[in-house]
Amino acid sequence: MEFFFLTYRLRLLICIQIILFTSCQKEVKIDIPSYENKLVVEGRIETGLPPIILLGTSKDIFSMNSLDTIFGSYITDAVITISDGTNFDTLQTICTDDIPKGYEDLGAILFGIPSIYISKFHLCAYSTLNTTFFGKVGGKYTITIHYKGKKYTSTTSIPEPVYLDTIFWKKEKTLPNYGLAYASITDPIEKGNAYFWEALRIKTGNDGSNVDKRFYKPRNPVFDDQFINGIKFNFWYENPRTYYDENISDKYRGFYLRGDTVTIKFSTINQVTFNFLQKKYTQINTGGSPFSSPINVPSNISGGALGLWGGYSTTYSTLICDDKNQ
Amino acid sequence: MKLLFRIIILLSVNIFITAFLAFGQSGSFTFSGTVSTKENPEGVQGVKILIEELKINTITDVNGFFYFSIPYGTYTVLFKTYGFETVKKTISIIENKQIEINLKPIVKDLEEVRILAKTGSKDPSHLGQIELKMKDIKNLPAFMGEIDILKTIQLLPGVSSVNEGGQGFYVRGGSPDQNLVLVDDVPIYNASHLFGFFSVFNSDAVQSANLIKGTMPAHFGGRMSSVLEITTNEGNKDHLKINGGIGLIASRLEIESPFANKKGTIMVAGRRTYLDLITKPFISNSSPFFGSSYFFYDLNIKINYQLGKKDKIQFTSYYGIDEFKYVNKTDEFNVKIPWGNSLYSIKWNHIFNSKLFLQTTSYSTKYNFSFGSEQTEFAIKLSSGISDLGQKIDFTYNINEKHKVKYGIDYTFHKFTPSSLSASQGSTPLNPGASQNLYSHETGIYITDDYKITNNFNLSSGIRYSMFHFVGPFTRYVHDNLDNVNEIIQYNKNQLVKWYGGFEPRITLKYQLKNIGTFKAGYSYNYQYIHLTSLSALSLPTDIWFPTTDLAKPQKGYQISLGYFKNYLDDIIETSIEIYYKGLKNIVEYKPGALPSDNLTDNVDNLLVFGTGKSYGIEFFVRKNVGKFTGWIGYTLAKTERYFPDIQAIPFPAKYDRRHDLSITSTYKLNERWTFGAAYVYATGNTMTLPSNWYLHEQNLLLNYYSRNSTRMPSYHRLDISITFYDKATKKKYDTEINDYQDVKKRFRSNWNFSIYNLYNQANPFFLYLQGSGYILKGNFKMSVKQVTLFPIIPSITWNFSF
Repeated sequence: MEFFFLTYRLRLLICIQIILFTSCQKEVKIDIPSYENKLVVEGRIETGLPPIILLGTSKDIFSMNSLDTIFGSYITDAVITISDGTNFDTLQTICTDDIPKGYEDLGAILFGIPSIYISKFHLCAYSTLNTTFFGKVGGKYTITIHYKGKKYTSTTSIPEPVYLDTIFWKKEKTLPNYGLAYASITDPIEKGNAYFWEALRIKTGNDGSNVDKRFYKPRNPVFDDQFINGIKFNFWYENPRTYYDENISDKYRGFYLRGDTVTIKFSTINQVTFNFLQKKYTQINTGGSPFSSPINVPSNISGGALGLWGGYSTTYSTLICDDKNQ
Repeated sequence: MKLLFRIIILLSVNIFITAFLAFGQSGSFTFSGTVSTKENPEGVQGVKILIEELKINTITDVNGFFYFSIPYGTYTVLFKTYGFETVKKTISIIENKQIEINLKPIVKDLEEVRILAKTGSKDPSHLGQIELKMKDIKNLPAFMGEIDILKTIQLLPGVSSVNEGGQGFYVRGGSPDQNLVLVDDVPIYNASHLFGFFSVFNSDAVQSANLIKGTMPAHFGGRMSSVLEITTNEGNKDHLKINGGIGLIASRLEIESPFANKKGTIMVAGRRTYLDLITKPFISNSSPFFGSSYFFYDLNIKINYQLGKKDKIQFTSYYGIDEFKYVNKTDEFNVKIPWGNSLYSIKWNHIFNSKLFLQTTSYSTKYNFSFGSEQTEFAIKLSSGISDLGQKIDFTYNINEKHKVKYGIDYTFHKFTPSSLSASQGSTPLNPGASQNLYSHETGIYITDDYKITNNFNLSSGIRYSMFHFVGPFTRYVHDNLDNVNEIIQYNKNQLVKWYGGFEPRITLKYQLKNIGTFKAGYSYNYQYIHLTSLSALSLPTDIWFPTTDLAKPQKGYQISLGYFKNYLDDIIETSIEIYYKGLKNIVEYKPGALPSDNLTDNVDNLLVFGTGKSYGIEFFVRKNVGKFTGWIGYTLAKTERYFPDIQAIPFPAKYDRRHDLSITSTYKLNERWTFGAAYVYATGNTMTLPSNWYLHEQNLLLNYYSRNSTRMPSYHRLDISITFYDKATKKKYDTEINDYQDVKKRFRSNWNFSIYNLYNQANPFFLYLQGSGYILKGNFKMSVKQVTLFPIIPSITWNFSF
């Protein structure tokens, strides 16, 4: 749904660009002043799972030219504590070196890199196995980061989940074996609910493992109830994996194939988390366009760091793409 | 405030004393009248009138009117202007006398006439004023064959374009919304077609454009930076006249005619693009894009009717629409974007006596934008707009030939629709919230005083008091510190939400030294009660107009300017140097990170931040108006800054800050049939904001912007040329009386205009963006800056005709 509203400007952009029929482009050398690099927090806590936090730093715009630059920017020597208002714990580092053989895929999900790189770089995430700090609905979690003499703090919460009422696949009129994932929810009467959509196909590849290694996000995976407050409504999402697959032609991009089984991870999020994710995906989709203003993604970390400490109230549903589920 | 009060007192005393002295004169009679030409039957401005015996002179005003107060006697009076035969009249003044003079062109072909355009050196009152006659720019290169007065104005010093090809213009560092664009005295809000690449002004319908970029007279209000007055054709008083043209993308037709025994004139002009018709054969019924199209059209109508000797009624209208449709059946996606302006006005001119005149104007003006889209089961329609109803009453009182007072009142009722949204999913209507219309009353009362204190010294002063009432119905969403709505305040219909008001003094001093030149100094203070906000770096029809509210205060600005003007070779060459300093307060920008959808369920002003601005610069101008070779050179050295503490702790360059701006235009008339034109522009590149740093978040690359407008695009330069080829002015006709062929003047005339835009195919920057290439995980990812160029070399051809 939010995809629809957010892309209003994108659509206008497409229209204008159609008119600019003679435009052409070339690379130019331009000085862009650089500024101090900042701490970046990638933190999340989901229902029933431990908190996971990665720390990195931002980089000068033209500095990205090697994997060392990218992965060398992750921080492993910070001290992070977590509190739920009553209890208190210090997070431990879980590093790529600690991942036992055979668990590279899990490590890849944790660090967000292909499993073949797990053994090549020394990356660490901060977490705890203390079940007190596994995400609970209604829980409020505060993290404090001490790094190079500076202190950064952030608080997030896990809201009450809103479940999908139904989920179904709908074939395209012109492509009967392809279709989008549809769902309906009933938004609670209180304003300020926000949602996050991820999907993972359950499909075995030629190597015997699942083709999707993790949950993938469509182009605009977040929406809130700004326009749908308190009503029941249908919405749809595309298959995000098709955009990364060079073997799929444009005609079939965005669709699930008849027979696909898909796990939908549908999370209810608070407004702060929504605000970050909404701006993040807006920037990804419109960044650089002259038809949009520069958008910095708003951090919820105090102390001058970038990034998000976000809470996700997750629910899971299974979608089977066949005519029965239309 | 004390200083302001003093100025008001001084002005009042000045006007009172001079008026008293004027009324106290005895033994004088008024000698007044109107000077017209065949092309300007309603009156021509800038004609010099000399009374030889008294050694006094004046020039005609915008209506072609002049006025003297002289004693009993017989005098020789000369009426002079460039391109026309000087008229010499002997008049006897034994009572108040009124005459009408019609000037004849020196050359036979009216197209060859060059009326000397006025600059500050010729005009007694205003600093930084330039007038362009449409016929003077018709031989300049035309972009895609469309002669465009707004594009020509952008070639003047102190004026710069928003972006390549765009109609939006910045005057001395002010933003586009700070320009008051008037069509026959009625404001127009978005003067562009095709997303800004063409102006709404049909070249056949426009007579002239008058730009005031310096001290604007007090009868203009509501904007801070400039006034652009577009005057449309009056209509031919003698016979039916038809003009037209067929171009690459549009054609136009204009008809002028007298009616009611020449008591009235009518002018109707229309223009339409045929991009939709040209592209239609290339999109088959089976194409997924079938149904996609774009067109615009506009229609101007002007009717004048003389009601006796003392009254004249004028009706003016403009109606223009753009409509863009994009259909993609494959994606079940379609978009329809219509937008346009409409304006209607009725003007009544009344002459009470030879000293007192009245002009009243009632008008309506509207601008609407709409965006409708459907995809799969979702449908959305977004619209915004502004609608005004206005009334102006202006009195002009000529105390004597040295002293003129103008006073009046104007009132506008504004209705703003910042955003209105309806959306549905299948049969379920979604709930985007009620659209908010915003209502306000804007009133101005003014008096101006032009006083020629000595033959060398002229004082033009004026003061305007403006008021603004922001009224209900209105819903205020009050935000707390965390930006959440914690209170809703409801205002009823016509309930006052907020009132603002203030004095706006304007003053220009002119001192003329024989053989040395003219010095001018000006000061103006302006209020602006409406705002334009844009989420785009470009000027788009999606930009939103909204009023001053309880939260958004009125924009305020002052300008100080000084000028030196000197003409050479008996006014054939004009030169000027002007310097200016402009200060702006309460200007607006969207908060960093604001999204278009945020407008829909909140007050627009809750999404804004407020700041200040300043601009200063020096402008050089050299112009030759007469002869085979005409043209001008304009150069501006300027700096423009903005300061928004909520965006950045330190001031930053405005996006249209340009250090250097050079324009050279010229036309050369080789002979009766061939005329050549050229225009060259060079400008420092615009500023823009590019990200300074990047970081990763859950495998996505995000960008961080630090310093606003800290990147400057490459410089812009371009050369355009044109050739206009006229048919023969005469044809052979057999004369039976002399049994031979005679040359007779052709009624049907035509010409071909060939233009080349961007002759040397310079790749000028339209915008820059960052592009990543390679793969992060392969270690070959690289960021680079790409420049998008819009227009390469573009030839065009237009056939124009008249009969």
